[in-house]
Amino acid sequence: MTTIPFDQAPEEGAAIQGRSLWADARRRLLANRAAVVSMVILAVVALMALLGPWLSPHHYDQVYRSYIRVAPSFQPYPHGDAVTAMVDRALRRSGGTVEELTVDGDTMRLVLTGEEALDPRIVRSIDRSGDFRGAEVVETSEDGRRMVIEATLERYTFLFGTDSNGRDLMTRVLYGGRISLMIGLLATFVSLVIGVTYGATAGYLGGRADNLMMRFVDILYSIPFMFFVILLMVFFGRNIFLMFIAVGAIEWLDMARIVRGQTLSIKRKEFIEAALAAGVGTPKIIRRHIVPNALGPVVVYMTLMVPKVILLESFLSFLGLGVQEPMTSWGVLIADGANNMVAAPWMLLFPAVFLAVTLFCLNFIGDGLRDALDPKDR
Amino acid sequence: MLSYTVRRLFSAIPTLFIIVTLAFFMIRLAPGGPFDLERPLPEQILQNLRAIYHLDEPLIVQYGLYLKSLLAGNLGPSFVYRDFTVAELIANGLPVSIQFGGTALLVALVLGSFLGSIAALRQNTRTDYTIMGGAMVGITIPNFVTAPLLSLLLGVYLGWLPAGGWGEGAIENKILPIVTLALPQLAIIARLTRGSMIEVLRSNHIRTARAKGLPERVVIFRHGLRAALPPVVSYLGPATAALLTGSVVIETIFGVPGVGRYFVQGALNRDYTLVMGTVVLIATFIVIFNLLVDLIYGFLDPKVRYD
Repeated sequence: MTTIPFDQAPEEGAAIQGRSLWADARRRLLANRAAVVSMVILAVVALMALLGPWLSPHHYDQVYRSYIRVAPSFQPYPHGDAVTAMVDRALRRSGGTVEELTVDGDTMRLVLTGEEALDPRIVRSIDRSGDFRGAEVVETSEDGRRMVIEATLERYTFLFGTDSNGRDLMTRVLYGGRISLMIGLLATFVSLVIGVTYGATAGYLGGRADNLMMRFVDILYSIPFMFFVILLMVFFGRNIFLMFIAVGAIEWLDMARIVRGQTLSIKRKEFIEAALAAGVGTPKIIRRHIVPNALGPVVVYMTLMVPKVILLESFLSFLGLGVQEPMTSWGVLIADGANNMVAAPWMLLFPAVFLAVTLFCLNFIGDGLRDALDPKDR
Repeated sequence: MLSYTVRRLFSAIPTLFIIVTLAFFMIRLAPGGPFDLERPLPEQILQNLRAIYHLDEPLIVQYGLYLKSLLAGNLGPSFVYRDFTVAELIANGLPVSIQFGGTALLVALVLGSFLGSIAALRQNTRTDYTIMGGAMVGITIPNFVTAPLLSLLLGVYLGWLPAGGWGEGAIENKILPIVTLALPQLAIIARLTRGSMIEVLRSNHIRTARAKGLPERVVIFRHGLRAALPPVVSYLGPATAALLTGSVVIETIFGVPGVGRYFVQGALNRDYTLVMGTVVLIATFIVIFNLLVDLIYGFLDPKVRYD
């Protein structure tokens, strides 16, 4: 526990500035080193997920057939004599044989000979391979059986390597992060709206309505909910937007309980009485007076729920029930990586590290917020 | 206590009924059916099949039929694994799942409560921070990440254990799945134990035990741990039910022939009876273990009375 030093005694005559509950909580949160570091890291991850796929030179579903499962590297591909194989592949049906192949920087120079006269349209098949561009015939011998072709090598950098379809893993990890984070936030938002409305209404109405509403929540609690998420996914045909709603619709139970508990104590306060005396209607009292005052624990619970939802989404995607190809999420990438871990361990490591770091940060922030807002500690 | 148990079991019936009903209608209303194959079956065969399984009758009649056979203790035939009944599939897989889940649970309980107690005794020291940091890792990282990572590290790189596969149930094939199953539970149990142990250590009966000169070991593990365990036990109810009924992820990754994968497979194949069978199984386990938890409470805490 960290102790917060008292402010210096106010100078003579200076007005004493009160600190609001939220300002207090903010100070406490900023004093928690783990939470602050987590917030920074999370912001970086979120920014990368948001801007990364957009800034990356590769599209998340672009397939590079010549670069299947290549290892992560700072050096642009192709490496070493991989060019030979590429030329062979590009010329597979052209009938010429490679006599000489030189690579100088980005330029590839190729001397080609054939049994018969070579067709200059050969350059098109070189271009079409996707590994070269701007191929042109520089020199042709008189009988046309020998040809010198120059082309520019396409150089690609795959910082995280590529996956088993030859797609850039970095772009996919960042894109997957975008989906995972978005699902986390959206599902949490859905459960927030349902849970807060339900809990505040039940708590404020009280009596038989409250009893009935909370009884219903109790029944839903006893249902093995993971199974129902899976059933919902099967039912909804794996549409990710419906998945947000399905997950949110199931996760609202705790939220409703928390908000109801808060509401029960808030509704006895004088300002509610004042609002009633002023003739404010029930919906407006709930909206304007109850909900804003119950937000503290809700915020804490919300931060702890985002990682839970991300985890759930990853789990479903891991089972093949969530996000579908070519779209991706961390769960999909991890499942893919687990299948290829012996041949291509980077396919497992990168998404796993991103997921783990994000979950860590969210948990630390949630814990920090709880400590900051928890009145027991005061 | 016997009447309490009987009463609890009776009060579980409506819950089970609601769960069964919900699951039945949800899986039935899902698009597709168990006989939708890549190559559609001829119309006549399809009709015959549907007639055999009563799929051609109105849904509400089928629901009645299912409830009737359920009451008779019959879970019905599997639609996809044609040679087996659902009861047989469960009977084959459940012992494996129970063995794995039970071992993992035991490991998690013993190590978790031990580490949690240590952390509580050394509160706010480096030992405490290390244990709690480790617990945070265990809780945060999901098992579908730890399972492949551990098998990559211990199986592929170090070559100590087989990286996957079942190997007809050889011991070394069982270690990794049990460890991955146990890790998150261990972490949660350690955290819960630490939390309640810290409170217990400040209580009067511990002071008394120390004052009469009991050795520290007895004070901590007999008097302290016993009082600190109720929160752990109440967590363990649903957790045990979930562990014993298998884990989809672990069974998929390590090829363990348990019951955990049946639910997902069943839901995907629209194997209606298999899905319902697993739902009934899980719900029953949850009811039983919640009851067991409440009974164990009585042994741990003499203040609890059943009336």
